[in-house]
Amino acid sequence: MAVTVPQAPYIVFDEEDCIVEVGELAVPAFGSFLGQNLWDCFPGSRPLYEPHYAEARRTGAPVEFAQYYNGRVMLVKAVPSGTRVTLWYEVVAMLDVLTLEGLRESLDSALAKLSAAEETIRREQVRTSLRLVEGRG
Amino acid sequence: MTRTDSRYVVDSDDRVITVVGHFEDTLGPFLGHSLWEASPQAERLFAPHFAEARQTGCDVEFTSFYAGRLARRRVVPTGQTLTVHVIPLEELDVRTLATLSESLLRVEAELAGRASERFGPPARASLQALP
Repeated sequence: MAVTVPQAPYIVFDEEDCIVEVGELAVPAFGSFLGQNLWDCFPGSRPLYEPHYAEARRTGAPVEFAQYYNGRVMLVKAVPSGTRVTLWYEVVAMLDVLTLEGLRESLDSALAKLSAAEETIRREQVRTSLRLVEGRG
Repeated sequence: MTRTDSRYVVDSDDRVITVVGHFEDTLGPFLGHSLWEASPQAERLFAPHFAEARQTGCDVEFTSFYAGRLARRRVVPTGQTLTVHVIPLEELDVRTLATLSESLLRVEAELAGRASERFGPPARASLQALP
């Protein structure tokens, strides 16, 4: 997984998906949303993210995924702890909407990075599964 | 305030000297500064139309995509000073890939429609006759 957890920005949200903590590096993006509900702050994001958080809560295990939302491609790692979830993230691509040419180029790049990230995550999941099967997990 | 109230005025050096409507927020902080400083990469899109308006002394209208929005712009010259009226047509919705795709299609359709408007029926017929 490309998310380098110790240096990555993070937020924590509770069982009602309210943001209860914002890491220092995440303050520019999330600081103003502290205490608010995730889905109210980021319209349209729920169907994209909630299934991953539900899986993390259900299994008690971290879930990693890549997602596009609001002009950004992010690598995300959702780590459950009780009813709370800590979300580590890394922005790997951003759309340039200044001009149509910039938009086309940046969209191509963002989609390529999204595919590459998804492939990396899939490979890592397979490796983890193999280690578990071989008893090395 | 209606959507058509948004406009700005630039002097002969393209410095912003008046802002009205939503430009009060976006261009207001750049009053007295070059429009191109406030609007990166806009110069190559807008400047040719500004030059035409100044050169001919006539209003110039054009449709262009800039900063996530497709807008119709009418450039009205008064000497070398230009008043630019901006009517928004479509806004890119970047929230999800689905909304981005839908809104980009709308932008492209609008641009294609506007491009075909530039040709009257005889011109369109001539173009269609080309191999």
